[in-house]
Amino acid sequence: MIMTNINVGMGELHVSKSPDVVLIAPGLGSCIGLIMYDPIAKIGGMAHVVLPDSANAKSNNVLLGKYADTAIPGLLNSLLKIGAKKSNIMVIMAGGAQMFNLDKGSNILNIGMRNVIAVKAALSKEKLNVKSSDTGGNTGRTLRIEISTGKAYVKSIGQPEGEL
Amino acid sequence: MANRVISKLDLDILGEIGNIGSGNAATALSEILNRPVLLTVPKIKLCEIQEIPETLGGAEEIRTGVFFGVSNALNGYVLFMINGEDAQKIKNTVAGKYDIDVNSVVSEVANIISGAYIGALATMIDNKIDLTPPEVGQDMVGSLIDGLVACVCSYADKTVIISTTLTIDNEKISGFYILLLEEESLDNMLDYFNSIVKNNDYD
Repeated sequence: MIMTNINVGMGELHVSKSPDVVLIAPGLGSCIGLIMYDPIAKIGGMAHVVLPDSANAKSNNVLLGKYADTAIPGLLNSLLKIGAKKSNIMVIMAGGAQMFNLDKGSNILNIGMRNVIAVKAALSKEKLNVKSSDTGGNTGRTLRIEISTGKAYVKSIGQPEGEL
Repeated sequence: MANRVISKLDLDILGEIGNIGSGNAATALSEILNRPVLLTVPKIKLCEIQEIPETLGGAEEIRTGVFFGVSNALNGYVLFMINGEDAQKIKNTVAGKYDIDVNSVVSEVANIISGAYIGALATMIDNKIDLTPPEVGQDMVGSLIDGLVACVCSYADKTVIISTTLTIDNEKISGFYILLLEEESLDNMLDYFNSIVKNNDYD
């Protein structure tokens, strides 16, 4: 089968039920690559979460994947719309690193960690559990998922790709 | 800036700031190294956040990044990014055969550029701007930049990227020198220069 790689950029959200699709969140630092997958229907999706909270977002904001509190319901609803079942959905996440140690205010400090906490909080609001994750630390990651198998892989520089 | 639409005049202003800043940076670096240094005319691009890593070379490309926090009158970040080969070129050009860590040399060069660039900007806005000491790291472009994007794009989905490339002693270093300002700072700075331009009947 010829695979189709689809990049999920910062703030984007993508769902698919095509067996040839691989969803990729490339170069995650403090951002989170969030996967939801229904192994029975073989439907999956990915969001590239940049920030914890949409409270200050512009009202006409359309990037559903950008904030943890909009990405989780947004991704879930998009999956349900194309035939996934909520009780089957499993969640995989990677990212949330702290790339630089910089003492400048509190914003950039731990934006990665704040993202991880916010994503987990939004997931528990939807009563979804994380099946596996690779978060924190201080290295970048690339996360991908094969829609046909539900297998997710994570890769950092200087390290072989591993299954999550 | 809730809903500022970046005008043609704004882009001209940003271009001119970039010009003066990089001119100063080139002079400072040239004086310290005692070699000719050129910085290209800066490119100003209004970017959607999902395009930023591609604009800077590709999300998964490995780069050396030197990073500074900008605070006081303006808030934001400066990031200097080059590939490993060009980092080595800088080291060879600047330190010759001396056995000095590549990262230290790159970080010092970035420090000189940033000091001069931000110094020029501070003079232009007649105010004080502070820079943190440099932080160096090697990783994928996307992961180096996303934390900064998170901080400058917490409200809007677009940001202005000001970037230039560097030439030392005819060795072209194709890196990026990037200034990312928080929305409120960018807005204030543009208002300040807009008012000066308008008061002077600039055509």
